[in-house]
Amino acid sequence: MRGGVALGGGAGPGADDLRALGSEQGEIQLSPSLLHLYIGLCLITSRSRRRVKYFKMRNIDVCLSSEGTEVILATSSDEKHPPENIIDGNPETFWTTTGMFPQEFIICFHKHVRIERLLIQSYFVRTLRIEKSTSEEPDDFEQWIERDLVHTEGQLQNEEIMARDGHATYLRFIIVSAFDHFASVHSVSAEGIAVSNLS
Amino acid sequence: MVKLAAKCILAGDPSVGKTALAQIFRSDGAHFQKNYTLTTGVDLVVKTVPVPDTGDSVELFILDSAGKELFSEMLDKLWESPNVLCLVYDVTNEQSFTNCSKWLEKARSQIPGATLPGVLVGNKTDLASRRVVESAQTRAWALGQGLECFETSVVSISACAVAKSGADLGWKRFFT
Repeated sequence: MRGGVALGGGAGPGADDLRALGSEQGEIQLSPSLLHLYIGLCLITSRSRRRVKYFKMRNIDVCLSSEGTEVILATSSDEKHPPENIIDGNPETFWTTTGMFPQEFIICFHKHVRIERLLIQSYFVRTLRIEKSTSEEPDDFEQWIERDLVHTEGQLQNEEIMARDGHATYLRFIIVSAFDHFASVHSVSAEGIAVSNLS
Repeated sequence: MVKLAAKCILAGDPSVGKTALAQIFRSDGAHFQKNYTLTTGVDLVVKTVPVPDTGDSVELFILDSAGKELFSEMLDKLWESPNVLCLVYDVTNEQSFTNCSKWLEKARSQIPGATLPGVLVGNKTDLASRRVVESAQTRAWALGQGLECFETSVVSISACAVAKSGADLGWKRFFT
């Protein structure tokens, strides 16, 4: 999630710039005598517009509920720790398994995305298998990534995965085994771009 | 309100009454099988039990396992990643109690690094005249191994209820 936070922060300044510009423009309208300044600002405005365009092309965390992503299946249900906690952008909240393995959850992006990097924060997960689908329905999953995680005592597991061929509409995370009787997933962030909407 | 799931290994020497205990537990004391059945591999008994004083429940997947040495290798696969253990011995059979440490070791080797909470159940207490295993010695051993200790007779249901509630208690402690 650290990557996700950084990204969110990255997108923030762009929006702040725009807002700042908006207010400056307001001031200019109030003092029309500074026309030369206004013209100068026009250049800045157009430049920042280009920058906004550039931002849209850059990687964002496509695995956030605020981006329209949903968890459409989870094999464990504890109302105190619902699966939505995985994609709320907050590593403090988590989804927990409620006993026995394997356990899984499926993430739906509601669009085609291309993922370049995955960041998974979890606890007690031993073997993690990730499958992906490019279908419009959550089927035809193909094996994508499998990792054996390291047991971290007293702190979250931070698993960073550089993805190859990251085209997906759905991701399926299977916790094959764990280091304890229960495991938790605190956040999954996926850096990438939205390629297209589902037809 | 959470529905938890736990894989429970039911283990012990042959003919100590594992299957009878599992069936009595499944049917809440209504079904006592009078004939001996040899369990091959494992029989799966699934039962949901409420965790006392909470709205939660545990779906127990009880692996009623074969006691015969012949099936031992098979059990290694089936026992993969257990959550709780129920060891059974026969109070009229000294060997069945001594072998408990073997069963315990075998079960614990399935999850190295994690703890495996469990209960030790002495069965057939109705055969008081043939009793050879004393409560004191089993209690001491169970304590040393971190197991909770119970005695019961599957043929007498009231004692079984005690074992059951005791077992619930053990599981409750594990899950809370």
